[in-house]
Amino acid sequence: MKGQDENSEIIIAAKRGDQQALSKLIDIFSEPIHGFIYSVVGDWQIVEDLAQETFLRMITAIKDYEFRAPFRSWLFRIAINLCRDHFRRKKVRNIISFLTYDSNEEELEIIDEKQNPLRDLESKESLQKIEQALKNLPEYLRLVFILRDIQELSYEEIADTMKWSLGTVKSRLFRARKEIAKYLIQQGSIK
Amino acid sequence: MKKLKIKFFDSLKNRLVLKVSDQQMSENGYNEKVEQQIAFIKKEAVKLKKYPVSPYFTQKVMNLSRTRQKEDIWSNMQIIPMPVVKLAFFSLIVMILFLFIPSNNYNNFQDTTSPDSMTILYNTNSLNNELVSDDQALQFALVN
Repeated sequence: MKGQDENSEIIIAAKRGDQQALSKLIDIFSEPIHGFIYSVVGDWQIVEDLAQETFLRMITAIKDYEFRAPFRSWLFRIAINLCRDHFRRKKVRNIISFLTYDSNEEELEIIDEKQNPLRDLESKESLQKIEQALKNLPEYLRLVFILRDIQELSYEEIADTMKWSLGTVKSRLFRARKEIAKYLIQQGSIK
Repeated sequence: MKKLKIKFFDSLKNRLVLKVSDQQMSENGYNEKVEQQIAFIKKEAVKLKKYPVSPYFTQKVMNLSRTRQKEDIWSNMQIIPMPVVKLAFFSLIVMILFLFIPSNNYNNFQDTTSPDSMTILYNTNSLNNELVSDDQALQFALVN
């Protein structure tokens, strides 16, 4: 066992198949997982689907969880894999939609983007700029930034989640922040 | 001449010292600026952590999980190819036949044998009770 998880009792109960413990784990982690997926995919429409799938996989796989890594890292790892699957599927869909182009589809997407509930809550310009900067980052830099500066995971937890060394986590985080700062300077958000 | 030389080197030294300190100042300023930028980004980025989650989300996931577990049992049944199912069904019938036919024959044999032949078979006249089970027959054989 690598360190004591603050939710270890709930996790042990959930491993035994305790339905209440499983519900409690979902309650605890639903907001961070939703937030994380939103930061990665940037599309609120599929956030709930991916979050739902993350927790369904958690329920199926929790009996095999052996406390080798912090539970949060383990759960984020599931979410990352699902986000990657989503991007792969999206890539294929984009190729198909490129081959069978339909102008109505694009119009629908634009209308839906305007109804984003998160944008109604957080309409600050700087947040939008950070989101935009995140979209421009390569995946590995985006993930390390989200895990550290948005989800506030420790360096060790990020290392466990991403299967990187601590040094790699620190250097990649520095690069991610530098890239975002560069973008924000270009956009005039910071000097 | 010597004094002039010393003065020249002194001024050069001073200039160099000034230049290095200027560079240090600007480097420190740069670092401060970067630190400020990172602090701003961190402060703003944390706000992205908040996400309005539906209050029914947990219930929905738990219900879905139960439904999927039920579906899994049936989908596993459907995965098994039909020839395998047929073969399993056939072998089950054969096994049942093997289990029942010999016992029926034995019963038939018992029914057809007369009490006299049984007496001859065991070579004794002490067979007062009918031997019902194989164990009883074995016991009888060992004793006689």
